Amino acid sequence: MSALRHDPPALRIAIVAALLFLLLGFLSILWTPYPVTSLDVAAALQDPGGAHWLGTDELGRDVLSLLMKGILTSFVVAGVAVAIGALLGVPLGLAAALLGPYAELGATGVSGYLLTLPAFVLAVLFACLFGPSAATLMVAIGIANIAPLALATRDAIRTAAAPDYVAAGRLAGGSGLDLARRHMLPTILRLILAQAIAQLAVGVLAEATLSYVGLGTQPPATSLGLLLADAQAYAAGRPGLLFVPGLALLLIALALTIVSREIRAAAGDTTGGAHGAA
Amino acid sequence: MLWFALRKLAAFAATVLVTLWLIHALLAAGAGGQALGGFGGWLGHLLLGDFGVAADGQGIGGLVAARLAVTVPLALLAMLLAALIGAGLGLLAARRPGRLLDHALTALAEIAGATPSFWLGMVLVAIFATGLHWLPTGGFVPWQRHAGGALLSLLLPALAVALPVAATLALGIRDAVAAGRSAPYVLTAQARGIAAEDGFRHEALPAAALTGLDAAVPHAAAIIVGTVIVENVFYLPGLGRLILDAAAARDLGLVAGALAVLILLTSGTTFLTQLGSRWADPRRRGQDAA
Repeated sequence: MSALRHDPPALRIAIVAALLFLLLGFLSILWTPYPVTSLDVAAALQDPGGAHWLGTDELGRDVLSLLMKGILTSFVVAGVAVAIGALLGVPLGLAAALLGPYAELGATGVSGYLLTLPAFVLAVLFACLFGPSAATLMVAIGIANIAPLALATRDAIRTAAAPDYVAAGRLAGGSGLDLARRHMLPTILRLILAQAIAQLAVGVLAEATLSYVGLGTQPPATSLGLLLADAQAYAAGRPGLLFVPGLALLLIALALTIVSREIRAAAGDTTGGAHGAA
Repeated sequence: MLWFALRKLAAFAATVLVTLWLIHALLAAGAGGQALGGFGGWLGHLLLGDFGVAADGQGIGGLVAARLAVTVPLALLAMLLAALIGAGLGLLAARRPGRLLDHALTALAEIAGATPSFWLGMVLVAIFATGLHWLPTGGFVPWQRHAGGALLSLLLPALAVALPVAATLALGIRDAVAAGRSAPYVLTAQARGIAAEDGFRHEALPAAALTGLDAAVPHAAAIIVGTVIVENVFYLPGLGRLILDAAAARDLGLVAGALAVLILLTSGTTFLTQLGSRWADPRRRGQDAA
């Protein structure tokens, strides 16, 4: 029923917003308004102004520069986690859909098990073994991404291979291979892409959450979660320190969620729409 | 139903066993992990309720039990709030699909669904505790001292965990009810002469409630994990704080015992909600198929 909320202008706005945040994050590799490692306690806790557009934090660091670095961490950690999840999850989903009933039973069983394993538990275990870092988070969130991507791959193939959909393509004059290439493959790829973007949103939130409780990114590197952990002590006097990283986090996750939902709705439309309603 | 329950029980036991093995294997490989001993011995002691001794000499079972007095009520309160708010907003939005209220609530739910609960907790503190002074900013009043005070100190954290989940549930319930309005069996009931509102109430709403219940199953375990995280925002002495402090101090025996209890809680909750959701559906109660 997500087609009910199908909304092309929202898709365009969400894509632009997500790309702007992505750009802001990757720009921080080349340039930030101020170096984030330079402390200037004399300029601590300033309000937003001409010199510091978003103010300064309790150590006198420029909030905009920290925000840019934090967004970069969000995208890099969540992106690598999606890559790990796709690398293992997509083959698992392919096996479930294409290799017969026993493979499906096995692959679905593995996915069902992985769904019960919270990224938090993995992050704690990896932090105990290797010490907490952005890398241990990538692996913990990546493992949590396997099952959603596997199930999405399996379901995408089933949707695209639905009898009426294939029959319609055949009536239109398509041959077997042509049918697979022109009709089924684009739908399958779009549905997997939609899930990958949804997991990117989940990963961005998970990175911030787990870094906030100390299981991820460590200083002097920064993350939106660490910025929020620092801001908590100063939230009463400087609510801006709390709202800037939080809103960035919310907007990134929201934009990615909308992009994912719209891609899924668009792929559903090309399959005839009949499968979405149930 | 009995076979369904037994199969889910077997899946629950297998899931917990595999995860306990994973926890033990990973921690035993770490520095100082030899203290855990072999998996069989550790598991046997766990089953007998013997969790071993933490680095400071205290019994792990007692430490964990004290923390559960915070985490379990908090998780239950969050589940209750998520169900009430989710169902309320979903039904409100579905009353007139496509109208302004529906669009506003749907947009709000989408925003709330993308909100990280630990940040939401900080925002709630900034508004209701430091701003309006209605509720405590954090910390915990023990149940024995003042049950009302304990409940008050759990209210904001429970809301922080519940609201994003409630938003997701509301969207699902809204869609299920909207779909129910035009479902063939509802139209048939109306064609037989039942008033539109009665047809909706007696035919569409129960079906939508079951859809909502099914959709809520995976969220129950997620609420427990959310609880364990949000405890930190409010300085609550719960299971999450215990796990993180033990991990920071590399007290691997305590980490293993506390994670084992966490996994039992999440998997056990999933098992029970699966059974409840299945039992609530009269169409499937008598069946044994998955």
